[in-house]
Amino acid sequence: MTTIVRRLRLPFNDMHQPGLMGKIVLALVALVALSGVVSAIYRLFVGLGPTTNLTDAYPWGLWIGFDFTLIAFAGVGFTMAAVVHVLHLEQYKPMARAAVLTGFLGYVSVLVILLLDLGRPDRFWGFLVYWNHHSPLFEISWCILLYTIVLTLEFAPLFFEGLQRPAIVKAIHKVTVPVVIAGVTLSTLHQSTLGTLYLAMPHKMHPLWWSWPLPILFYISSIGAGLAAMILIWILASKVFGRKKIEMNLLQGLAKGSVWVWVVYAVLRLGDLLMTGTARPMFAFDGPSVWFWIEMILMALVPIVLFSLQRVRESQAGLFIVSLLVTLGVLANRFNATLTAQYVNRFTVESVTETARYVPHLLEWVMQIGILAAAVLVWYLAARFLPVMPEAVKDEH
Amino acid sequence: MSRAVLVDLVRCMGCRACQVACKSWNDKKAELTQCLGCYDNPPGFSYNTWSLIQFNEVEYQGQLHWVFTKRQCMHCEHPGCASVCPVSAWEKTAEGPVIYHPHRCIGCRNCQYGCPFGVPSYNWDAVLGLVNKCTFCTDRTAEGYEPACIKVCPTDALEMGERSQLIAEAYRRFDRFPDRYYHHIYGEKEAGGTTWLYISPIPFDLLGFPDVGTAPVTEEAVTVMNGTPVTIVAAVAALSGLYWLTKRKEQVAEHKSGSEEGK
Repeated sequence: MTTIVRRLRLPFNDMHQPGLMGKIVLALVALVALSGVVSAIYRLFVGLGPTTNLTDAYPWGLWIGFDFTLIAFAGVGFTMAAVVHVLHLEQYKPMARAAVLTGFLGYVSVLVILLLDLGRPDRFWGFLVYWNHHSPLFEISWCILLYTIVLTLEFAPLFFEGLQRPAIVKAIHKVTVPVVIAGVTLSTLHQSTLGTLYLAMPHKMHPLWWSWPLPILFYISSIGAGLAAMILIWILASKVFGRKKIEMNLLQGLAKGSVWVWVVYAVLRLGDLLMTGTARPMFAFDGPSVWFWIEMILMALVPIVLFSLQRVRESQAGLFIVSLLVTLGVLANRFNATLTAQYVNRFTVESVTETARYVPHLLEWVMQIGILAAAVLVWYLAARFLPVMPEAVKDEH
Repeated sequence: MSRAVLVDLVRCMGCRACQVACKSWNDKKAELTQCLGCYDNPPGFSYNTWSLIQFNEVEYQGQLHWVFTKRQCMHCEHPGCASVCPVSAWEKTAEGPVIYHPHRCIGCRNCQYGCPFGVPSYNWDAVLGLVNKCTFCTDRTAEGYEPACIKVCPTDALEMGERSQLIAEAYRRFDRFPDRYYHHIYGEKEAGGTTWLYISPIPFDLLGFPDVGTAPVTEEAVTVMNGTPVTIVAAVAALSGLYWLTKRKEQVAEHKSGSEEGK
């Protein structure tokens, strides 16, 4: 990589030389990414039938579950932008760049997977021309497009700083505040509209998942997922780039903040279930009820209880594991809304013949994990050649 | 004038002429199926099957009923498919039918989630896949013909006409043969009203008709979506306010510490 950068005479600084182990891991990640890209090309040539196990009984599956989780996870972009530029908690500024990079790559991978999920990827631009302002998906498409532009603008200073073009950096910095406010507004809209998407299927969803506050619940959980993502990424990247000192005080602050986020989430969700008298299915202890408890324990109970304990907040492993569990909780929540909570149509062939089930096709996994691996790889390379992590890193070397 | 259809399940004798007529008029391929131990064949909707008869053996009030339900798109008054479609590929026409603009469709399959009746079906075999469903034979009605299924029905179980007149006709049949009918018109109020109306000898839930309430399917979502401009204004205002407030706080704090140092 260094040789390529040198040969292209790019003025980037290489901030990390991986060891043998690191090189092997990078090669493996690249291999996984490559297999994803190859299967994606195959899918484009043969269609969804041979490459997925989706049916009329389950038109959405693994990809949608991961997309919606990844959008929540990429919520780290708007959450941290708001923390630093709107709330002026300047101490978090060193983390903002890693957050923006994660948000940017998160959204780009979502766009790639969504493109593969469309029956007509060649018509992805449809929403630009044919408007339907009642459609949640229409609003989500517009917001994701505009927010990806915002993220590009937020990421651009970093790129030009890497290229040592201070004039351009200065020009972009001038519009930071309006860009950030636009970004947070767009995120507020589409993170909540993902909930509205499910609100539009009242007769197809289990009462434990369908409720009026769905849009708000999706929004709040994206902030919680974003905070968890920041903790995970900061600890991981610091390890990879050999930073000896990790800003524990900042991570603790994020952990404390996320306690409040999840308290609001839990109160709103459980409160709604109790108030509307739909709490009974919680204790049915059938499939949906078990899944409900899994996600509620991971998203609410775990962070609220464990992040309230100083001992957990002060331990790097504690911060990491709890954030990982929260991320898994959000993953479970988005998958449950897409699969567990859905009643299968009675009039599909699959439900009449009682063959309605969905187990993702191997290629669905290969494409999904491949795109994620590609995102991880690009994240690493960006952080290696651009000033993503704070300067202190270089001094350590 | 709004076209509607009254399906009288008491009159239907399960001959499936409608099913065959639909396939043949719309040039839809036959499907390879297998015996399921009942008459249903094919058993459900698909990209190539827009209309079909389901055979229900149901015990109701101590009596065995063999009821044949003709299924197709209900052509809702407030269609969920059209409401959720991001590219307006579905359109509710003033004449009644919910029609499809295939050149707009991106194959996202959200309509399959927006429809409470499980009607739109995706073409899983295609490289570039689209969805599809009953068209209400708009190509025939434009020329003044009845839809294919209605044209071939030998017992007049399917009747096309003005919606309000068909509802009146259904109530007339309830009055005339009170014992033959379960006195409810499925579709009169369901999901905000549908263009295809059903009357039956037994309650509809026994025939698997979903309980969709009387509000349009996506009522809640549309309410939220209509609030979008308010959300935008509120978010921008709140964020700008917070920006100003926290910045001011900082400046005040700086000023204070500065003047203290001055002393």
